[in-house]
Amino acid sequence: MLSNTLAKEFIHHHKTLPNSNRVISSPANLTDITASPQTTPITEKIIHFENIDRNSRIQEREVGWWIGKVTAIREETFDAVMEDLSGNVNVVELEKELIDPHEQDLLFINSKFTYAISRIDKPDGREYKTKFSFSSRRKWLKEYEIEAKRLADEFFPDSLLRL
Amino acid sequence: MDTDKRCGDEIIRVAVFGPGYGESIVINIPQVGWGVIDSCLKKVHNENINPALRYLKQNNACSIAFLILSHPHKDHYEGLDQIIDEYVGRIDRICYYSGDGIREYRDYLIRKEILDSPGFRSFSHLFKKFEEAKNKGSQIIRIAERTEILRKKICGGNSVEIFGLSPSAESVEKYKKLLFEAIPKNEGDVFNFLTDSQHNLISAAIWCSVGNTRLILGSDVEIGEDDRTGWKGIVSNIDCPNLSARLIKVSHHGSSNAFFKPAWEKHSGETKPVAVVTPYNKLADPLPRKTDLDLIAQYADDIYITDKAKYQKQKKIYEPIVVKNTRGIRDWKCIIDDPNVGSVEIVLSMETGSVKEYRIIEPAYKYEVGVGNS
Repeated sequence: MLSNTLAKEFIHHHKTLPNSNRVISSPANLTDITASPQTTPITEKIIHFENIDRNSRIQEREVGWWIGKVTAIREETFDAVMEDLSGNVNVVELEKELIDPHEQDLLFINSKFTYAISRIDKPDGREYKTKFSFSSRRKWLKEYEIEAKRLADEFFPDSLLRL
Repeated sequence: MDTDKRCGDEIIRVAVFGPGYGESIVINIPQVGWGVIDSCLKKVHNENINPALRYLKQNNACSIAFLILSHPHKDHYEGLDQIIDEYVGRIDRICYYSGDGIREYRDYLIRKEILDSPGFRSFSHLFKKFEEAKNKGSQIIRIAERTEILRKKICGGNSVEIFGLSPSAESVEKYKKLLFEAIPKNEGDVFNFLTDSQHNLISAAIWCSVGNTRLILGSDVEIGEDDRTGWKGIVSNIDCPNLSARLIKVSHHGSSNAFFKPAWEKHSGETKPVAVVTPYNKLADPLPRKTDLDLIAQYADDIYITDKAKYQKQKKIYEPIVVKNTRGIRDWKCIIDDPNVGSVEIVLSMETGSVKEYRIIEPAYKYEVGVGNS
């Protein structure tokens, strides 16, 4: 087991590996800092790394996330209320261009959507991306009937209608 | 001291809460006790405050004479379950909309939950609380036009009467039809969402008469499409009671959709009433708007608003890198969450209907006509 510091260094090293097979031959000093008890000294250890594709090391992290509700629709824009994970409420005017052409029919008053900003770290730099997507579905499918019946039976039986 | 049915002081207390989303009214009538109309929550530092429940406890209320849900919208029932939990077994009457169309409303909410967003479970939870209260002795009343919320009684020489002004049978029928049409039935059917105005068809405005004092609590009743629905329906009803009042809880957050001049002419028929508005801040252009308040001001003595929408720049909340990288946002305002819960409490004389005392807790404020403080 490697010491914590070394582990960090190792991970750092691993992250900065160039795009090629690397073979590390254990240097003598590596044996000195391994955690005890070290029963069998490392005399020779070869670690093989698979080919590392630079693109596979793209890391994406959401730095902003809101859930929104459409409150008004205009010619080029629409109004919405967006709430973040901390409960901050924002009133915004958004451009219709944000909406994917396939989702245009989901724009209506009270429809819900998510708006997110992602930070993408690539080997060649960092970039930010905005994602907009409606969370609504509009078309009813037969398979939803089972779920609808389950919800009614479990949470709101007919007896509650006649109190 | 149990303040439930104190007598001798001959005053009516009305406290209106409206933290920017949702509203609640607590009323105390001598020899009748406490009444609660709707409920709301206010989030302060990640903690939900129930202003109506807090007020009841502060005033040592031991029981509730009537509890009304004016219509099943989240901004009117959030926290009602907490009030029931606190007073279960000590609530005389619970009044809510449960007439025709409630089955369709349930089915609508289930389908909305499957296709779009949650909401059905909190609604069902509330109805389970109603059932629990019923099992502990509460009487369940189906609210509608001319429904007696409190049986007419004489208290200390004063008659007390409370009933619903709406929804009319026609409104209910219309609402039921809209729900039925919105519910998808076959594979591939498109779910049609009802607008908020359509849901307001079943809002119950409350008429309350105590001695010489009348109060009208407008809920979310809107103008109406014809003389059988909304305020048009209320005013044109041949059985409509005297609509002049000393206190009006302005309907639907003071919106233009709810301002019906003939109704206000009647409200101010004997003397100009005090108007209380609960705002709705979660809009790009929040309610109430100045133009609407100025209209109301022509018929009201004073206007009090239970909360004030305040905004701040996004830069104050979010990291610069987040603000810089947003795309497609033309206008962006962040609502400042005021840590205080505003309220407007009005004490009225039963004998004369005159206002004996105002207690305004900020951020509630008095609207000054022409100052543009909306």
